[in-house]
Amino acid sequence: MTTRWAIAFEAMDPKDTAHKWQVGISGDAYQRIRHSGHEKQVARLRLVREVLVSGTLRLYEGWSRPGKDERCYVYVGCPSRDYKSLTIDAPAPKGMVFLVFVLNDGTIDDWNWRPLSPSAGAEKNVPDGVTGSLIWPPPKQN
Amino acid sequence: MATTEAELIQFLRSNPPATKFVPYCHLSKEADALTVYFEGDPDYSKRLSDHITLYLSLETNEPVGCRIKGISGILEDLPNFVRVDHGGVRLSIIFFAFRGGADDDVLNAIKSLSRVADQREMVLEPAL
Repeated sequence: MTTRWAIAFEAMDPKDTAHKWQVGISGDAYQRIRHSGHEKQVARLRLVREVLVSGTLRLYEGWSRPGKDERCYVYVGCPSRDYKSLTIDAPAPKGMVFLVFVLNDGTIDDWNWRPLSPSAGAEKNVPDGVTGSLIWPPPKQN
Repeated sequence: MATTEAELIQFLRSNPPATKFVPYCHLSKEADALTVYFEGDPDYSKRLSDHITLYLSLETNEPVGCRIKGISGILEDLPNFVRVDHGGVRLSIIFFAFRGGADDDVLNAIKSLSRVADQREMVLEPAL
């Protein structure tokens, strides 16, 4: 574990997708969900790790935040399991992908399942309501 | 230093969540977003509008929380319209600010969020 973050991972670098950058969850953020007894949010950190470290299927720049710069990122993955608690897992919800929201400084800000876009056509693993610019895969490989 | 799967599991087991869920809201200046959870059920997210993302129970599809983006402008404007007592703002008032121009789906979701926030007497308080 690092001093900057309570938990840190190596994820695809949005500025250079051939390389990695370090992202993480602050101690304050972890203590908040821990002390609130938000067990599924804690347990789903295993999904966060999976999507960031080895399961990034799509990477977007921008959260479409009103009036804000868009230098923030959405990692999209499709884990096969969900974690309801540290001891209970279940099959992943059908028709959904898992999103990890990361700020420009590498801080992991949120994570959750999201239904697939009904208007994605032949494209796979496209989440509904994510309107940022696609960084990965590059459009020609998409 | 990156966290391996084994290190992560060990960290989570060594720092387990409290046994009882307590509703909470968190204002992130960096993300300019307010995150609210009423219930701790396993959930998924559904984007309602540019500002509002709902968190819905995977089991019941009922709202268990929400995330509001672009919150700073709303909070800056609030004192012009609402008397703020004891430094805190009732969370239902925050939701009310997003009613203007919303379509029926968004309006219904906002009403639902406001009702639950009132029932839970949730208040957004400035950080000390």
